[in-house]
Amino acid sequence: MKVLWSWLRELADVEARPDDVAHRLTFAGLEVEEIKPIEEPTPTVPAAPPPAGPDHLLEINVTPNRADCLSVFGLAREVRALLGRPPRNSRPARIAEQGPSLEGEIEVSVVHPDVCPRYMGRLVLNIRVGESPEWLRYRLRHMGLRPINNVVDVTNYVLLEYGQPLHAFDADRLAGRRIDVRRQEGEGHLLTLDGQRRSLQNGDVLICDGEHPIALGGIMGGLNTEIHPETRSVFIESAYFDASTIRRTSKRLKLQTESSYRFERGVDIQGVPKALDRCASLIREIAGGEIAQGRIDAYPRRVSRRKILFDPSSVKRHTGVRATAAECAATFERLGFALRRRPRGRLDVAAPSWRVDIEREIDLVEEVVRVKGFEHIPAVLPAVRLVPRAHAAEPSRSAEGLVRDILVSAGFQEVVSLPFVSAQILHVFGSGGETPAGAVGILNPLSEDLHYLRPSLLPSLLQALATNVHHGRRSLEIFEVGSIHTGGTGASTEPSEIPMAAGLLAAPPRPKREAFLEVKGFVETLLERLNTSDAALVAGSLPPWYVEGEGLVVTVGKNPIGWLGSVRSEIAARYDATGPVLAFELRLEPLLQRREVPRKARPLARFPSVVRDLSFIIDEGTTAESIRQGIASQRIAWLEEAQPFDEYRGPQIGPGKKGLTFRLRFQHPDKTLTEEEVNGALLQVREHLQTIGASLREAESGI
Amino acid sequence: MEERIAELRRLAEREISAAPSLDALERLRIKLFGRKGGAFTELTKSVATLPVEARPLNGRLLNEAKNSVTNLLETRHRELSRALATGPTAPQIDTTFPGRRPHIGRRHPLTLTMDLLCDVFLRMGFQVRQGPEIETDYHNFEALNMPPDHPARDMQDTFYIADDKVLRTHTSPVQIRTMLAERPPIQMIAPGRVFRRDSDLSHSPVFHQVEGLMADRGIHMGHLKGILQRFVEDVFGTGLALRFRPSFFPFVEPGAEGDMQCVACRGAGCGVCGGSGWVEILGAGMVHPRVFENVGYDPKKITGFAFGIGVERIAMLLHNVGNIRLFYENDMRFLEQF
Repeated sequence: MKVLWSWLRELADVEARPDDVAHRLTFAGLEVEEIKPIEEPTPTVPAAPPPAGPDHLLEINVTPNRADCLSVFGLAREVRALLGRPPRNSRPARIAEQGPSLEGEIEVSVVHPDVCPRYMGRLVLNIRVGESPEWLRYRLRHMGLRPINNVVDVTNYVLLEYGQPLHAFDADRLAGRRIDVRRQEGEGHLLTLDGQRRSLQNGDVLICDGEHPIALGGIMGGLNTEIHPETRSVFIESAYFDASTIRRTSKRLKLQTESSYRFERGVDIQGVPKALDRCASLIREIAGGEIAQGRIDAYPRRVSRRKILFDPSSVKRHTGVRATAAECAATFERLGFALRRRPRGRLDVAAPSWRVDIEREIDLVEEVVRVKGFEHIPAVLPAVRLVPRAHAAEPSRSAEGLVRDILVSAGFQEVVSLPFVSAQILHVFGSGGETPAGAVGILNPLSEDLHYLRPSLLPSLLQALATNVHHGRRSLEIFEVGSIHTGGTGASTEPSEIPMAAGLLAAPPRPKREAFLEVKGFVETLLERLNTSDAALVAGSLPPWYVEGEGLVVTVGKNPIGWLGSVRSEIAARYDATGPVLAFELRLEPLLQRREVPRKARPLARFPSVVRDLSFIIDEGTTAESIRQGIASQRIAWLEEAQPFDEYRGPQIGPGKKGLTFRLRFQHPDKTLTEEEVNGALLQVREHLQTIGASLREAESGI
Repeated sequence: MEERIAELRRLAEREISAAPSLDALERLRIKLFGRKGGAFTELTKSVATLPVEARPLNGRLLNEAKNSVTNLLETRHRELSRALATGPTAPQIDTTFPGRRPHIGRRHPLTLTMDLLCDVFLRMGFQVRQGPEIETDYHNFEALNMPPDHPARDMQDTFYIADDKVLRTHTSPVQIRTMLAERPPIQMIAPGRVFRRDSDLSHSPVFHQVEGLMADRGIHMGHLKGILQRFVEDVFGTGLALRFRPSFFPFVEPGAEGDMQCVACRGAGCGVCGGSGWVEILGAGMVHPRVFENVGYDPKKITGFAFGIGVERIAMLLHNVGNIRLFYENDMRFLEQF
C-alpha cells in the first residue's frame, strides 16, 4: 500500500523523520519497501498543519492479517503505538444535518444480513458536482487513485483515510427510491462503472433499487446510478460485507478493487458510521448541499469484542523473551486493547474492533514481542530429546544421491529443468495425431508451453540439448533425476508421481552402434552399482519415441522399470540434434529399495586362467546373446566365461552373414590347466558352434 | 713394451675425457678397439710376439689398461648421453602444456545446494521427510490455517490440477503429513520442488525449498533463532549475523522473515543487498496452534517452530548467480562452472 508521508504525519501527529518511522514499521511487521521523494510541492490541506518539508511516498507491504493498516489512519494509529504514544480517537465527526429527514426519502432493507451484517447510509441533497480541490486530488493521485469528480473523489478519499469502502449513488435515479441488499438468486447481469457487463451468480451480494441491481455489493457500483455532472442528490453507502462472499465474487469475475481488497481482509465494523459521517461532511464541505437528517443503520446482530485470557508467562514459553505483566499491559493499552486485570498477573484482553486478526493468546504474545522487537528473542539451541527412528516409507534421499554420483562418475552432467511441456510436445512424443492422453494438465497454466506436467524426462533432456546446440555444442552427456506425472486427467483417476532418472547421449562423431553400446553400458553399470542382481535388459515394447529394434526394456525381477535406446530421428531433429541421440529412462523406486543388501566378497582364483579367442561366421539373425547362452548350456568343464567382444561384416564374409569373435576364459579351481585340457574344452565349444551353423575361421589365438 | 702400454693408456684416458660428443667418442672407440688397426688390438698382437717369459707381465698390464679404458669409455658415454638428454637442445616434455583432462560429469548447483542444506540440518538431528508434488487443497492450504476464501491464499499464486488438487506451493504440507503420521518429538526437514504461478526476472514458476519443523514440549522461538543462526554459520561461515523481522504466514504465529548479513559486503551495503547490508533468506515462525489442532496435537502441551528456506536464493548467494533462470536453462557454459 502506498501512503503519503504528509498525510500519515498529519494523522499520527508525531514529530519524526520518514526513515525513522519506516524503520520502526518494518521491524514491527509492516515492511516499508520503498521511500520515494515527491518532486512537486505539497499543497496545504484545510484545517491541517502546514506542510513541513518535502513530501514522500512510502510503499508498505501490508500482510493479509493487517487489514487495519490498509488506511492512512490505521497506519497512523500503528505509528503512534510503536513510538510509545497513547492512542487517539479518530476525529469526532461533528455533522451538520440540515435537510429533510432521511426517513421517508429513501427506504433501505437488508434482505440477507448474513452477507451484509451492517448497512448504513446518508443522503446529501442539492450538491454541485465538479472538480475536487487540488489538495484532495494530490492525495488521491499519489496514492494510486484517479480523480473523477468531487463526490466520487470524497468517497475514495475517506476509503484511503479510514479504510472503509464507500459508495455514492445518484439518489434521483434510484427507482422506487428504495434500496434492497440481497444475495443474487439465479443468473443475471450488471453493467458496472467500468463499462463491463458482469454476469451474476447465486450468492453474489447485490444492491438493488426498486427495479434493478445497481451495484455489485462491496466490489463496484453500477453504471445506471453513477454520479454524473447533473447529479443533485447522493445516497452514500457505508457497509460491512461478508469477507468470503466478496472474495468469491471478486475471484470469479477477476475483478479486484480497492473496495473488495479491504472487505476480503475485513474492515472495522464499528468504523462504518465514522466513515459515513466523515464522507457526508466532506461532501458537504466540497460539493455543497445539505445532509438529510438521520442515517440508516441496519445492524441486526451486534458484533462484540472478543475477550482473551492472557498469561504473561506465555510470552517466554513461546518466544524465550522475558516480558513482565506490566510491560505486556502497557503494550496492549498503547495498541488500543481493553484490559481487565485478573489474579496472578493475568489479564482479560479485548481486542479493538479493527484488529480482526487477534483471536487467541498466541496473537497477543506476538503483539508484545513485535512491539518490543524481535531482536530480544534469544538465539539458543534446543535440548534435543529425539529418538532417531528408521523410516521405512522414506524414499531415501541418499540413494537418490547415489544414482547422481554414479552417473556423474560415468561422465554425465546433471541438469534440472522446468517440469512442464506443451500439448504440441506431447503430440510429437506420442505416436502422432492423438490427444495427449495420460498427461496431467494444469487448469490455469502460465502459457501454452507450460500446459502439462511432463510424462517423461526426455523432452526436458532434449530441450537442454537444443539449448546447447544453439551455443555450438554438438556432443552432450546429461542426466536428470526428477519426478514425472501420468494419469489423472479425469476426475476419477488419481495422477501418479513417479521419481525417475534419465540420461541422454548425443555424440555425432560416434557410430550409432557404439553410442548404443555405450548407453547400454551406462545402464548396466548403474544397475550393477545399485545391487540390482535380478535386473535385465530385454527386447520388448518401447515408448513411441524410441526407434523400433534399437532399444531395450529394463526389467527388475521381470517387471519393466524403464527403457534405453535410439531416439527417433524426427524427434531428435526437432531439437536440432546433428547426429544419433540415445537415451535411457529408469524408474527409481524399484532400484532404490534394493541397495541396502551388503555385498558378499567372492574368493579370488588361486591359479591362472587361460583365455582363448574364437572367431566364426554366422547368420545375421543369430544374436550374440543366444550363442553365449548356447555355449553356457553345454556346461563345458572349466569354462568360466564366454563373452562376445567383436562383430564384423564385409564382402569376404558375404551377405546375410556376420563374423563374431568370442573370448573364452577357462579356470580350474585347484590347479593350472594344461594345454591339452584347454584344447579339449575348446574342441567342445567348436563342436557346439558347428551344430548351430557357425563356420569357424582361422585358428584361434590365445593369450 | 711396458712403456708403450702405459703411454697408450695415458693417451686414451686423456682423449676420452676430452671427447666432446658421442660421435667423437665412438670414433675414438674404433681407433682404440677397432678390429682392424685399433691401437689396443695392435698392441695385443704385439704382446703375442714377445718372448714367452715377458708375456704374462705385459698381458696383465695390457688387460688392466684395456679394462680401465673400457670403463672410462662407458662412463664418458653415460655423461655425454645424459648431457644430450638434459641439454638445451634435447627433446623435452613441455610441462606448461595444458593437462589432458578426463571427461567427467558434474552435479547441478541446485542439487548440490540442496544436499548442502540437508546435510547441515541432518547434522543437527533433523530427519528427511517427503511428500507429493501434486497436493490436496487440504494439505497445502486448509490444514495450514488457510481455509478457502482466505486472502492469504493470494500470497501464493497457485497452479490447479483439479478443484481440490494443486501443485504444492510450498513443502509445508509435508509438515502436515508427518504430524498426522507421527507423534512428537518431531524434528524434520522436507526438501523438494514447489510451484508458484509466477514468472519474471526474479521468480521462476518452479523452485526448491527446504522446510523444517521441530515440535515438542518446551520449544520456543529462541530455539528457532539458535538453529537458524547455526545454519547461516554452517553454510556461509561465521561472522554473518541473522536477524528476524515480524511477518505473516498463516500457519505460524508469531511469524518472521529472516535476513542475514550480505555475503558480498558483509553488512556494509552493496549491489547484491540493495545497499541495506542484509539479504532476506527465509520465512519462519512458531507453529500456529490451529495447525496443531488440525493434526490432533494439543497446543497447550506441544509447541514447535517451522521454517522455509529457498534453495535458489541460497545458491545464488553462495555462487554469485544474478539470475534465477540460469538454473533452469541447462546451458553447459553455466553448469560446467560448478
